[in-house]
Amino acid sequence: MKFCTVKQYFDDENNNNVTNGIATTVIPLPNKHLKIKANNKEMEQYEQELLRNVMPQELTKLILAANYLNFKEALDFFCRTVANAIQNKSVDYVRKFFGLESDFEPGEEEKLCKEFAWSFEGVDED
Amino acid sequence: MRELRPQPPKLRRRNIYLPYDIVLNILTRLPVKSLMRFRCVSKSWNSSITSPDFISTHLNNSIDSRGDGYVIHMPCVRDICSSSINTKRPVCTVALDRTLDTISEVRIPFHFPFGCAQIVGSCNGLLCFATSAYCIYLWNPSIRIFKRLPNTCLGQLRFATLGFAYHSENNDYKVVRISRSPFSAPVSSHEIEVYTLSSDSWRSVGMTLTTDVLFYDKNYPLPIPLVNGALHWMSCIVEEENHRRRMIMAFDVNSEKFKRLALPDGSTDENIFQTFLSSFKGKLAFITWARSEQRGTQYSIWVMKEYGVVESWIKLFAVPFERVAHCTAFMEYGSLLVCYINDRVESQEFKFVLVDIETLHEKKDLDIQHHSYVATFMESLVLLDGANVVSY
Repeated sequence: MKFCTVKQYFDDENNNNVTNGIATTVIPLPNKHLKIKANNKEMEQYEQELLRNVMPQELTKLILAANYLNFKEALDFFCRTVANAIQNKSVDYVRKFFGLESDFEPGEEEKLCKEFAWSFEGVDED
Repeated sequence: MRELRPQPPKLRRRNIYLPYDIVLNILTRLPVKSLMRFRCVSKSWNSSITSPDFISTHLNNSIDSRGDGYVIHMPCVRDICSSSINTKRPVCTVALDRTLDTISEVRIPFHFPFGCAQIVGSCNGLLCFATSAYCIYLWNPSIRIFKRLPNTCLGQLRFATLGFAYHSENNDYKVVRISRSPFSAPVSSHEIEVYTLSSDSWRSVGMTLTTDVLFYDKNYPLPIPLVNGALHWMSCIVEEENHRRRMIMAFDVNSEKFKRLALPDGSTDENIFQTFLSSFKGKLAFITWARSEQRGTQYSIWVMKEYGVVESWIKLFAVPFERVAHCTAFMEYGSLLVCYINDRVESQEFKFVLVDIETLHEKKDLDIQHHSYVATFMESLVLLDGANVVSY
């Protein structure tokens, strides 16, 4: 099933713009995933490798590709990887990462942050 | 906030925007501390994170991916939390369930005006604490939120016992309180009221229609177990010719009706010191502590393999002890936390030991060294969508 979608993906004319980077990372995934599905430790190591070699923004490309390919396991895996990458980051970092802006009324955001001040402790520096 | 639409794989030069459903996929995998902080990212993130659907999905994700289990325990010694003079609030400890090794300490954020604190129960990371049935709190330590329950809707509280349950049909939480008339009263009667979190109110579900129930056992120090959507109390009923029989009264949290379950055949006789109800790997467990045929005493653990089928009771484990061993807690995965009393020493010394009921392996030198209430624990966002909650 997964290989059919991959073939269709390449045949589809709309995908001419996809860079090689994605093709080389996502395509080998079905094999790797099948091989290491049973072994959590290896998945963790692969995740660490991914985080080291791939910039967080690149991960979003991988997510989109996995989403388009309807490759649920890869999508969940990349989402988990992104979650681990951002979990200790600041609010500003996360906004930049997802391309968001604050839409709170003035003072509203401050009030909220104060209420959960404890959740801001030990956050990574930007 | 910019509109996030599903993007085809065509790449943009700068930022690539993820569809909102994928953003939520990522968010549901984050720890609660991160999520509380990311509420400040934008209005829609704040709204999503505090929605009941998100809270449920996040809970299910963390249950699936969780490796170790945790417990939270609190000493049940009176000294620690009595009187207004002593302003020190009791401390709870979060520990690994397999070893009881301490992970962290958590101070109880609310003040108990009377008596001693009790952990009533724990569901999905939400804890229910009470003292003397007068003051009841729901508390989620992982997101630092608590809520005090309103006062009883009944006239007078007498000798009450409490149970805490998750109502899965409605994704809601309930506290059940059963109050009993004193023993001196000519006829034993019970009043039952139920608190529902979604309505934030108590409701009387009437007295038990049958006056043959003498009492509902508190199960001290174990919590009233929630199994198969029902809270289970050990009780004693009076049959013809004043004959008394022990029986399990199961309160179905959805229908709010009692069902009677018989105890295993041959499980009750005069040699029994104590009985408890608990849950073992999701099934109802009946634990007896009795004199052993050999030297010493023995804990017998019966499990109801098929819920509701009395014939399916089976005695799965027997844990013998040469010395007197008081049961402090029973762990869901299969361990007994017992207390040996060293009565050779003048000042009575307690020694707590965790015993695996299958292998009988004992773990000594535990971090826990007081009689305690022990409840399961996990991180969750539950209660975040409740009314009148206090964050600290």
